[in-house]
Amino acid sequence: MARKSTKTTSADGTVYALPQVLDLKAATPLAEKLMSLRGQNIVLDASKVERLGTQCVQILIAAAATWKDEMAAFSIAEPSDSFTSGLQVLGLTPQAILEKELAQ
Amino acid sequence: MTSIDPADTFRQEAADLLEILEQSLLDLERRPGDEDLVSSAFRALHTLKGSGAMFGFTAVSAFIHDFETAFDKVRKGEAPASGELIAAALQAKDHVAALITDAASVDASAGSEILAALAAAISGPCEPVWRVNFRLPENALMLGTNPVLLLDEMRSLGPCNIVSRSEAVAPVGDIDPDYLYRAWALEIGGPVDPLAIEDVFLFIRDDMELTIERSGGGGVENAAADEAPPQAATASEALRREPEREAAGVAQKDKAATLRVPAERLDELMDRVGELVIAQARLSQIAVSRHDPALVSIAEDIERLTSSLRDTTMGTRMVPIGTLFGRFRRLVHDLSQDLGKQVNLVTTGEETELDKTVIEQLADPLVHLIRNAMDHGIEQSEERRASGKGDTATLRLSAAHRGAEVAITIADDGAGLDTARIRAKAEASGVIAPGAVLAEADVNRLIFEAGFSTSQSVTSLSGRGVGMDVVKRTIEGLRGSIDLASEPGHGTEVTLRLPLTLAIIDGLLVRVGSGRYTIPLAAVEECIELPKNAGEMRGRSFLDVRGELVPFMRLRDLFHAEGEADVYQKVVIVSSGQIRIGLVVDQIIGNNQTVIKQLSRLHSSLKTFSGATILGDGTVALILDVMNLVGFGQKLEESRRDDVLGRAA
Repeated sequence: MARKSTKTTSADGTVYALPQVLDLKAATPLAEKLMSLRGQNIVLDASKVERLGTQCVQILIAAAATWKDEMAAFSIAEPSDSFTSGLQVLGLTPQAILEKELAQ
Repeated sequence: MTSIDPADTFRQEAADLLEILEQSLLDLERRPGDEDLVSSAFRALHTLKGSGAMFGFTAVSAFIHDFETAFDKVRKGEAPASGELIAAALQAKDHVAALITDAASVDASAGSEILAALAAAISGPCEPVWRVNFRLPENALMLGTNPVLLLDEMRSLGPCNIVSRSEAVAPVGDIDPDYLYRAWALEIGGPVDPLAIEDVFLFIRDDMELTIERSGGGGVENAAADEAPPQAATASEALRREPEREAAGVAQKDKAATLRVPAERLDELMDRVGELVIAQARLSQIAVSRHDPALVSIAEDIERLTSSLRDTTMGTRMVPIGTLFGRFRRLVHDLSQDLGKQVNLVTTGEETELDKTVIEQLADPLVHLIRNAMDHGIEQSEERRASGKGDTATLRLSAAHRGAEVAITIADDGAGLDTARIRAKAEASGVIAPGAVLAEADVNRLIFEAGFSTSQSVTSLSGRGVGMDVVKRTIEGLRGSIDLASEPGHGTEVTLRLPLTLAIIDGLLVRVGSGRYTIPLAAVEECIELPKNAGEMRGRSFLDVRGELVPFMRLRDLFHAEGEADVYQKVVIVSSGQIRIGLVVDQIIGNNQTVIKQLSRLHSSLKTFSGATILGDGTVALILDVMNLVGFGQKLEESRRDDVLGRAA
């Protein structure tokens, strides 16, 4: 199954539209994609996400921490219900990824 | 050698455990959320059940099983430690005690009713909360374990609050998506079986970290799995073994620290030490008479060792008075309910030690004093409010060392003694003559007279005119005394002053005529020579001791000693409470360790002597009862004064 994502720019930085399916197989490509955007301010568009797995959640958390360490902006825009519920089943929220986790 | 009945061993242990249980229950009533108290009560029950079954007390074991089941719900947070539960549990404790004493005479239906009350008390709703921390193995994802499914399964057990945590977050480039870096902390409410929680992790349990803890109702703090102990025990094992481990831990600690010895053996040991002290005294006497320095040296060594052995042996007989105070908490608790009065018992000085014989005999007097304080002294709530006091009265029970004595004080913040009513009652009952001139303190002390009661109504607690005189007799029998202080509207304070031990005392050996007597050294203030001009001046026998007049009595006269008095007689000044008196003797022989031997029943009515002791040469010396002598001296003085006044008239 093809996983499409788009990349645009906004005032907050490069907008990266997360794929619809962020499962086990999507984890490595997601990590690579994020690595390619390293150093830039980025906005993750989560509006299209329909499935979110543990592996990709870990990648997103690591990315948020990395961006914070490198003093670059990292945000999640328009999280879909699936994205939010995918985090919730693991005991997380979008805000927790960006703030709480980074605050540790 | 004494053979010990195993059943008696169980009864002794059970008595201790029941006391722990009762204390825990009473504390729990004040601090219902205290998990340590719940655990303490549960442990006591659990140990009792196990020991009961082992020693053949099946009825006890069966009853405690149900009792324990009820309390286990409290322990698990499934039921609150409500007042109803505590009340039922206290009844259950009494029932267990009765079963242990004589199961055959106990009404079985009473046990059923108590168990029903316990069941009713724990049937109320309560939200238990289980706190679960887990961390899956790093390769869990690679092995096909999906934490989402595990968390879903946890949610199916009950209302869940889940928090995901991780330790250090690696940079995105260093992350291997196949590895798991997360841990979770959960709180699960509702009646969840902790074993069901563990079953969720059944297939990965060996390689993961998991802790399951119960938290009391009312919620728990979020706990991070990262903070969980790295080597947490298997939860189910921990849960299954918890009572045994805790009980065993306590038992082991106790075993390491103390050794249970039958009281009779301590008494036997004390007797042997007493005989040794006497033998040592004989040795010392012979050594001195032989003028052999080597023998004197050995005698001195043995004297030192004997003295040390005496102190050590006496130390083994010393029991902290807290063991006694603990019993009164239940008494106050029950009386508060019976009388409808709110009373807070405050105890201090529980660590104060007294000879076990004294402790044993103190129980009844203290019960009487506490009952009287609660029945007569402490007012009803309305009356207290009208007097500007709080609804809850305070009853203080304290113990402290004061020199060679222990002072035990029972103080209440009640209405104080009604001196006018005491006087009226005393006059009406002929205890004192109408209009007799008495100090207020003396009037108040009349409550210790036999047959005296000012209670307006006879209750089950007091007012029958028995009790306070028994208190006085018992305390005096223990060579102690009672001080009484009362302030109208502010309360009453009764202080019992008791000797530290009844077994061996330091005494002052004196000679009167041809007889030798021992005076307890603790009561001796000083010794002086009897002035030649001391006499019965104007009918009064007084000595001028550094400007203070001290009455004195001649023991030669008292004991009808034959022969001539010594030319230079001595006066031993003794005191009892605030009163001092001089005892005129022929010779002061010196200090000695006095092993107290009780007088025979034939001589038990003698008030002048509290016992006898055997001297080094095998002869007997009577021990003077200072308190009674002081009282006797006072009466003698009063009668002489009356005679003089009568003659003068």
